[in-house]
Amino acid sequence: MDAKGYPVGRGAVKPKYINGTLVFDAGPLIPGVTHTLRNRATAAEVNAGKVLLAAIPGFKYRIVDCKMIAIGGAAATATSVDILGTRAGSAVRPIVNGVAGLTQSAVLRAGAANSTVLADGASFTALDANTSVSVTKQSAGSALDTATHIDVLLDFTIEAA
Amino acid sequence: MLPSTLYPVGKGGPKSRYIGGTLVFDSAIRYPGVSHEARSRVTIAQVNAGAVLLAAIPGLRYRLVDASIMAIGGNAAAVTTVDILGTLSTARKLVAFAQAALTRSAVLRAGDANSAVLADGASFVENDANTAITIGKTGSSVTTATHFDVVLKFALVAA
Repeated sequence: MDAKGYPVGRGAVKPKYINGTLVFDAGPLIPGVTHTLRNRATAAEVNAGKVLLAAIPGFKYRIVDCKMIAIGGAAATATSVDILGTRAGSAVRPIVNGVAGLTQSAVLRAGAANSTVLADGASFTALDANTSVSVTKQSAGSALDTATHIDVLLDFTIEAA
Repeated sequence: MLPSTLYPVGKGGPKSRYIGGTLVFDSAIRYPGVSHEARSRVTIAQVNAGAVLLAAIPGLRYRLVDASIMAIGGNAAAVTTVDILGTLSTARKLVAFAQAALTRSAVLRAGDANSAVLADGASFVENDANTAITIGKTGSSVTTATHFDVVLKFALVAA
């Protein structure tokens, strides 16, 4: 990793034993380890596009799994709610969740009915280094309506570029 | 920051070494934000009585990431649901696995048919600090199945 890629803070995280379990006080990103993010995005944020994982110089994100849950009502009007990334310099949508599957409180898993993944497993291969991962509505579709929020539960790992 | 007064067991860092080019640690390590996984095989007696799957950790909150269950030794019978339980102010059923889908050797995932999660994503919101995640039942005691395999994916969140 490029030493110029450390814009915030220095030093190691602090581990401590708590009831026999070694616990760290911060969440480091470790290549090969599955990390998990839960983010509640408002409908407006989905419509505008919201960054879930900020770009990290020298590292690529790889999506491991994803679940979405519509909050406050069933998703409507929009075509889909998507996970958006970048591969080979172009935008890709590893997960496209049709609003038909985004009924209130239901868990919609990547690859299940109404959830489309890319051909040949491409949704689960690494994205470009130093690029972010976002949630957004289908660009050609109408704005998300009725649902007030979308809970995104994203499992991911990072790989050195 | 974790309080410094909560270290009843052990001190120091974990021991690590390279094995076949992979750095391996000699103990479980919990990082906030990392998806951890725990597989438990519990007897139906334990389910009927209630059993701890993840012990409470002072200063940290469990957040369920995913859960699945499988009946072992036979189909689950008699019971209404087998439940994954947490605490957020009060006890709550994070996932309720209905008996109808607890067929032997079948994987039943949280949120699938016959597997109820809480409204508006609440099952995946962190629980109270220093509270355990347990398994229990609703309705009559489980019969016929001998065990359940429960796989929990979870994260820890600092209180």
